[in-house]
Amino acid sequence: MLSVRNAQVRYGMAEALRGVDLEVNEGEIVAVIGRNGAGKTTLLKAITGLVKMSGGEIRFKGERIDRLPAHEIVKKGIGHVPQGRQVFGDQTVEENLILGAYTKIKQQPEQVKKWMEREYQRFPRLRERRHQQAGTLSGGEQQMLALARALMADPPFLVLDEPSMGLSPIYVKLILDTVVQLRKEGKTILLVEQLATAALSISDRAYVLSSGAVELTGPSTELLHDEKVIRTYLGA
Amino acid sequence: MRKWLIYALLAILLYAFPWLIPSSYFVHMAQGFLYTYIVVVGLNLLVGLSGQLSLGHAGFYAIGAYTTALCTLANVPFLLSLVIGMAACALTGAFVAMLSLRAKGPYLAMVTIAFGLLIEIVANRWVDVTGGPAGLYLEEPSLFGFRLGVVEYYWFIAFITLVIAALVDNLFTSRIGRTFRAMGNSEVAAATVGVNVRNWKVLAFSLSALIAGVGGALFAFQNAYFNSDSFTFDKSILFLIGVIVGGAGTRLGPVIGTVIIFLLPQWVQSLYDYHLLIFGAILLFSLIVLPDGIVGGFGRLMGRRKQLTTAHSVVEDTAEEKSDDVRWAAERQETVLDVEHVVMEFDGYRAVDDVSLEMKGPEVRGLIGPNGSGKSTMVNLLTGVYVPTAGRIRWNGRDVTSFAPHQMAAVGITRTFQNLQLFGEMTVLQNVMVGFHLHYRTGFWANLFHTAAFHREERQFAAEALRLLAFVGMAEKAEETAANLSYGEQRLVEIARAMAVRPQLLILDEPAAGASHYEVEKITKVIRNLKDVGISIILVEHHMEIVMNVCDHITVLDFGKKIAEGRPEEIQNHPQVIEAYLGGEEVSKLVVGT
Amino acid sequence: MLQAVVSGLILGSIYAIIAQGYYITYITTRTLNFGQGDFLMVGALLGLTSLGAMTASGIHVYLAAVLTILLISAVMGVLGWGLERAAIRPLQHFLSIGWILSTVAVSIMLRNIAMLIWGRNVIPFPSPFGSDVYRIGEVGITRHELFVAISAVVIMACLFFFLNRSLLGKALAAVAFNRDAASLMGINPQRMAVLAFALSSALAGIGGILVGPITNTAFFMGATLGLKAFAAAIIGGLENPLGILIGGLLLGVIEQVFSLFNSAYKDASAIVLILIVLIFMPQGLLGKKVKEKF
Repeated sequence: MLSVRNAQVRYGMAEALRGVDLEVNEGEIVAVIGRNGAGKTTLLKAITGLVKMSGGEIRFKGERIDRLPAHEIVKKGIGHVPQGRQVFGDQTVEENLILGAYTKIKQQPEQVKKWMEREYQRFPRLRERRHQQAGTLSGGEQQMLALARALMADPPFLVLDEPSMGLSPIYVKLILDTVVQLRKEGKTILLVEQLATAALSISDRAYVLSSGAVELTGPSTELLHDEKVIRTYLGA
Repeated sequence: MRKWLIYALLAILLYAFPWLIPSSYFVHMAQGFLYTYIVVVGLNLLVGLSGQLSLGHAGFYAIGAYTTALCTLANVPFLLSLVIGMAACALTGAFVAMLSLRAKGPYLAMVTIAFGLLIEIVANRWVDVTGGPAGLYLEEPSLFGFRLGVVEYYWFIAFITLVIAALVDNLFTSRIGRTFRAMGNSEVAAATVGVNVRNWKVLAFSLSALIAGVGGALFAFQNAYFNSDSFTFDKSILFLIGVIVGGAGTRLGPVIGTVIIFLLPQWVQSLYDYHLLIFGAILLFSLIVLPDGIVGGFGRLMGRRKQLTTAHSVVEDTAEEKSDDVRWAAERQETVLDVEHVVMEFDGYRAVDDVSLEMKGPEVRGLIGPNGSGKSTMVNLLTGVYVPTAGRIRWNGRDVTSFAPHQMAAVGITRTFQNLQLFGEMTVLQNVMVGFHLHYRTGFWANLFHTAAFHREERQFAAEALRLLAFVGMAEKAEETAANLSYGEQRLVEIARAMAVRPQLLILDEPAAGASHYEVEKITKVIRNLKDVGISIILVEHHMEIVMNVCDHITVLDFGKKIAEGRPEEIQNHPQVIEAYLGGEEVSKLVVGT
Repeated sequence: MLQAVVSGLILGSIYAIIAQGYYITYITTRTLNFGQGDFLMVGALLGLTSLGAMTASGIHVYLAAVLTILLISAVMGVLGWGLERAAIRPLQHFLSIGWILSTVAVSIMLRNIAMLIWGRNVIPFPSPFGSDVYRIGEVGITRHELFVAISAVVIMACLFFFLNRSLLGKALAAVAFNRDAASLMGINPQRMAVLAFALSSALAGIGGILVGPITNTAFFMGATLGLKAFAAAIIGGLENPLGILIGGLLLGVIEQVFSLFNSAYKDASAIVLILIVLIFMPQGLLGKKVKEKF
């Protein structure tokens, strides 16, 4: 579904991605793990066009998307839940959801209503807080909102950037459960996570990124017991 | 010495001009060009070098003109009047700077606009004193009893211009200029090496105003008459155009800029009905095509090659003294940092929640925790960037809780930045030399006149800076522009710059983030060396192999709270830490549902 | 005194309308049109011409006024679009203050063109509604001032409705709050920037039509008005439309009240007000304090 070939990104003279290859097949959950600064977020941003690549190409459903601006890529059916949630803090929960459906709301207003209902059912907490300003929600609620907002355009492909960041275990579980549930609904998911074991235990395959390059890749169950992964994370 | 040759040549040229072109019209033009140039030079110091903004420089121009003129009308000698005018401008400059210290961006622009307009209104309406639109009639200026005719006055202006140009050029290449530029590049980084940003901003404003005042005074006496129409908002904009289009922050920019704002309008004047149109079009075109200004644009094409060769020889000389002992380290006594129950709250959200921390004697302390656990906030608290909502920070028995970053630097605490705060426009060497800010002994005047003491000190600190660069393995890149380095290299330079502060406690905020494998190794080695030198270090890092191998003790934060503290091996097996970092068994179980 | 307050409120509401233009572009692009005053001038002169032509061809005054406002909004919108493309977008990649000067460059060109078309002299702008004065107690209001007051209320209401209720307004706010996140919603930030500048210029144009009969029109009328509107925006807080409204009204009232004593005080009072506000509240009256992260 998504294929990244030799992706390179530089910020000024600094190389953030040094030629990353990555493949996501339809129906998979693929995890990308690695330390801070390894290039995980940059990779996701390159996929959705938030940063320009200096080399390489990205194809989505066979079509090249690496030259498109972010808002065009999103219209192709990729939802991106950015790191740190980035909800529109000065707007209400419902307005955030409406903005999530920005590309669809004019053509399919009825459909959008259904999707909003679907998300409210998925996260009842959001319905309770629908008229509250998003900035006043707790971290976990904001993460739900960010996820629901991305789902409002009903994208078949979803990229999630560290959904567990700063969340307590209960919320982490809720979010990751949702990810598993979304796959059952037929979505394809690319998940960037710091919590390696958690990410590996819900994903099919994984990539370990280090210093802007893929260090390891393979089925998640294998990586879960890989010495090198453990060492990278705890230095044991 | 080439510098003096150029000045001599310029002096001869300026002196000979009235003979080469013996037309009073052109001499008049030359006068106008020179005093406009003076103002642009002064504004360049402010906008180009120190990164501030003034849309009210016509106000200082006016104050210079009126103060000097009114003094001569009160029978004060011309030269003394000029000095009084300069002083008045410097004072108002300082005053405006203090008013605008807290304002940023458009708000700062508004303060300066308002100042300019206020002066304009006073000039216009306080007719009893300023003459208003009807103007003031002055006597021809005289120096020590000699009346200055058109040509003599031209020479006088030329002389002043040359002096100001030379002195400002000296400032550009001295530590004063470096500090201004550093402040313009990154205020917070400048503060953490000990620059009192507030005072330096006031200084920059004051100097710039003083120079603008000289320009104004020289203008006032050009025709022995002037009125309030010359000090409009448009004039302020015009000066700014001179700076930006010429090339902000460059040394030659003001010359080109003045050509654009002074000579160009004269040429297109003949097309009277269209001259604003043409001027506007040229301005817009040059801004789009050459956003760095004319000099900046060409400099990028031409200047690159020349730079690289200059200091290479120096590097080779000192490279052998590699990692020569870092002198101040030996004098260290016991380090005591005592953080007591600090809390940092943002809008009701506790980023750091009741954390206590104690460091004794030279030690390397790891500060780890998942993203968003409050590490960076902690660093900001310890370096004075934030003042804690509650709690106390004591350093060597002294309460430093509410110290500003530059005060923290002065007592020996400095840092590097996770999101890299090098002075991007400056060379690597200059970056480190700014780091010595607290250790320079020469004063403003020595730097202004480039005295022997100044040269001695520059050489001494350049050599020392190179030693520090050698210490982090970056000596070969000393002449590279900092913004052109890779992440890892920039981090190393930040360490060298922080070392120049000669800190007792150095806080490294994710020094290995975004670095390549090779760079990570290099950085690890440098941290080890730092440890050997005996500086106390707080290391915030995600690379566990660095943390575990280098640190004596580790403090772990999660959700703003301290969850564990101990020796590396204790931390590695601490269940709560594993939980926080890896999600641990509990979360995995929850998730997988086994 | 009361008279001065009322005319101050009316003048101030015009400042506020122009100043909302600064707000819209500033939040979306972090830039604003330093030549807003000259855009206002173009609006005023065009409005004068169009009103004249319409009434001459026998269209009723009220209809002509409404049509003119719509027409000028459209023309100014196009001009704003041109400004964004010519003077803002090409400079977006450079972290400099170049945009201040590029918008000034466009404005001085406009000034020159206006001079060529409408000449150098002050052109009286008779209000289409005549100069009848209504009296309410001691306060007199001309019909034009009444028209300004009504228009200001309507325009502000439309604007607030647009910003807070419409999808486009929400999109604009989203771009302002977080550009990247907004583009992940499929919102084109560049199109929003164009929209912001078009809207901003249209507001300037309308401001021009409203202010024309009060100040009279000339190719050089813009500079002062533009600066006053900027001052209103800064006093209120550049990122808060309500603050801007308050800032505009405050500025208008203070000016008019002080001009009772001496016309020299009128301009100076405004400036002293700005300085006092900025010294004590460097983010304006209703501005937000931001904490920078390192």
